[in-house]
Amino acid sequence: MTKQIYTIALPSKGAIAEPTSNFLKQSGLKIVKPNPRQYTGRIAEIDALQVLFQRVKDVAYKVADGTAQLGITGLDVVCENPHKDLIVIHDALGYGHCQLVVAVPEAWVDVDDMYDLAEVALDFREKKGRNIRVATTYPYLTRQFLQRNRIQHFRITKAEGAIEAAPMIGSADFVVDLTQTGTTLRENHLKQVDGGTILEAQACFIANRQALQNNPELLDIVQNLCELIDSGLNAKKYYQVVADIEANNVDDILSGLEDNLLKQRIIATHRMLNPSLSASSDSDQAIYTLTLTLEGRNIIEIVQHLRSIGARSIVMNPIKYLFHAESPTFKKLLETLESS
Amino acid sequence: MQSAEKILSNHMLRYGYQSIELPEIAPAELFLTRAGDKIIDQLLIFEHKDQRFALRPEFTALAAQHYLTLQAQESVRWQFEGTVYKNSFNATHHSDYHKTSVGAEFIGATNPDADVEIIAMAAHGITELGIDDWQMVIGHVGVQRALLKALKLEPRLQEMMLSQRDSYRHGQDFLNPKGSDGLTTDSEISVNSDEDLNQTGYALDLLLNATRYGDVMGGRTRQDITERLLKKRQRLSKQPEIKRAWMLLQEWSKITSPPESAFVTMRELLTKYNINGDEQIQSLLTEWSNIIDSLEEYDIPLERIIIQPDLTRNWNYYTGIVFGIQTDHDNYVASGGRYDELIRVVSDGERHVPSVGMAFHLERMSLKIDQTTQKQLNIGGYQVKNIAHDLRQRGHAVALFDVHDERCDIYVQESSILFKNTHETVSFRNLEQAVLILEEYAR
Repeated sequence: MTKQIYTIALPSKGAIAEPTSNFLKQSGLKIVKPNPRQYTGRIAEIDALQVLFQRVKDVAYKVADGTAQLGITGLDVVCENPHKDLIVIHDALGYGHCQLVVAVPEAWVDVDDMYDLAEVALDFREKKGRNIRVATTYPYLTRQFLQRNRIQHFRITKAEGAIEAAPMIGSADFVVDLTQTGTTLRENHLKQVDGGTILEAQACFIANRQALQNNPELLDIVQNLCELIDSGLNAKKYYQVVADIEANNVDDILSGLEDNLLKQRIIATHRMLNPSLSASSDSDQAIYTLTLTLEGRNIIEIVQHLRSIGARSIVMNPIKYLFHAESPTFKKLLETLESS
Repeated sequence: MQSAEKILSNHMLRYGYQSIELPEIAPAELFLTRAGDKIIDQLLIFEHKDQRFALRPEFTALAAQHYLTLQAQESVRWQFEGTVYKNSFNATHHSDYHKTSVGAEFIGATNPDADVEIIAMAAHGITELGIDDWQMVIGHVGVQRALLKALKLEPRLQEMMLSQRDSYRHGQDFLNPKGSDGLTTDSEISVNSDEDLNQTGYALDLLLNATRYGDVMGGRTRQDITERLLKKRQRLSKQPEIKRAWMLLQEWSKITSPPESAFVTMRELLTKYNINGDEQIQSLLTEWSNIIDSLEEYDIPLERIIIQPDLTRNWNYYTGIVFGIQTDHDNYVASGGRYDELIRVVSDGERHVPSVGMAFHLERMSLKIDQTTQKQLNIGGYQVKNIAHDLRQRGHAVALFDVHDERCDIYVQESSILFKNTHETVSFRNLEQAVLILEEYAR
């Protein structure tokens, strides 16, 4: 019997194309693309999964219509194109951060927040006899957001490309657009509005709901991917610390860990990895090798404390994978599928 | 047996409302113009050659567009029957996305008699379908706007407050994203009079001209920005008026009673808030009251009428009388009202054509159509509206034009023939004679 091949759609170009490839590589999944001009590829570690390279928007469409069963794209695209068969497995893969924001001309010095903008919208209707116009490539999210903020009368101007230029060329009065740093907005004499952040998005992992429900073997693949993604993302927050500590006994080391601010971090990691201690010297004080996993903030503080309890050499290594008892992402996915 | 749509169509024809065909598809923006993007979730939209189109969710915006396309200058009475389409998140079958709509629009209806006519036509239409246990609820958007205007609230603030209908009906504070005082912003500029406003406005305008903001104005002029900036500051001194208006709206929204007591209560509230001397409010209340009284000329007894001043939710659309006919609580089988601003908005401000319209909600009716139900001819006076009503009862199409002192031009025709404007004057000495003459004329 022929083995079923499933498809994961990945961005072919744009801001998250290369980061997606890097992310998967860091998660232990190497994308093999035989020819740079081809739109297909494979993942070396998963035989049953082929890769389809698409534009970011098309990734969502292909997964929604079932052409691809899995995909990685921007959360902004998914939220803009909701579909009953589109399910978000993981909404924060840790790269491709951006915000969808409302921005008005800087010259609108009377507009500080969304309440002001709602008033200006009424001004347009009353004084100019027309609806205020907003340029965006996110009409769905824009409508919902403006309505929630009491702006009922507006006209969405369809635009592609340089949205920020729309107020300058007169095709719109304000814009709703993606921004990462706000630089492009400022360069075009636009400013963000308080309370005008519609969405904070980053890359996300999506799937076709029906495909998951009807194909147990696809669910197995997704479980493996979730394990790799979760463990990879978890690992980014932690360091593995190996220290040789000179102490009278193990209890002195443990009490030293208890007494300090490290305690919180160790407790946080203790559930995942117990400190391992072993004697390595027969002097008055033994040398113990302490291995633990710590949240990687303020590493100099960590080093100083370990020295204060007798550490002689300290090695800190980044972690590649950190597995929990189960993948929380996959667990949540199962719950979602069961409830739908 | 006739369908409900046919019965209603014939019924409206007897009032002189001609059937017209309107497209089922139009640019989505046309429908959004009516109520902003409020109805966006209800529209079934598709894209074609980079333009968004929608299946019609109603007829009114299409009728307004059609009127403009015809470059019509005279008033028109149009009726519609056909399928309308709405998105439904609860849809389980394709039939959930469409339904049959029957309605009418009187475009160019400047006279309050048009309101009476539309309301009466809606009520008698329901009766023609064999539904007798209805009640009519009538409100008035214009009066409510006039209240806020009399309390010296600027138009933008009026709109904001009216849009918070659910909040004031439920006794909540006028909350906004900044909290109870969010209508104002911290400012070092204090402006307390219009004279100050003008002087400060001039100074600010100069200042804006000298800024680094360039020419990116997004459809606003420096004057627009300056004026609003100053008014925003000026609101610091307006908070008492805002709170007072909010309290009035809360009390206003609680009125739900028969006409006689409702008008008394409304006038008491005007006195309480010291705006009983406002000429616009008094004028609108008088007009509203007269419209209610005139309904009796169309055989609509006052006992059937309940006044609920803040009836509508759609402040952005209706401008005057609004009404709904219900067979049970919260179930409107017909509704409509005056929308004087729609054509101005659809024409981007080029035309101003007052209008009034209504629609029957067939899907909400438990139809009990009885073909044997016939009205008795009831000659009870010499008023032209009585005559017109009686003639309609006899199956003739009758349209009244420019009623003054109970004299007017009456146009009559067989219901099967399209209405034509003949401009002939019919004189009569009594009602019987008038009916005979008119029937002869109609032949």
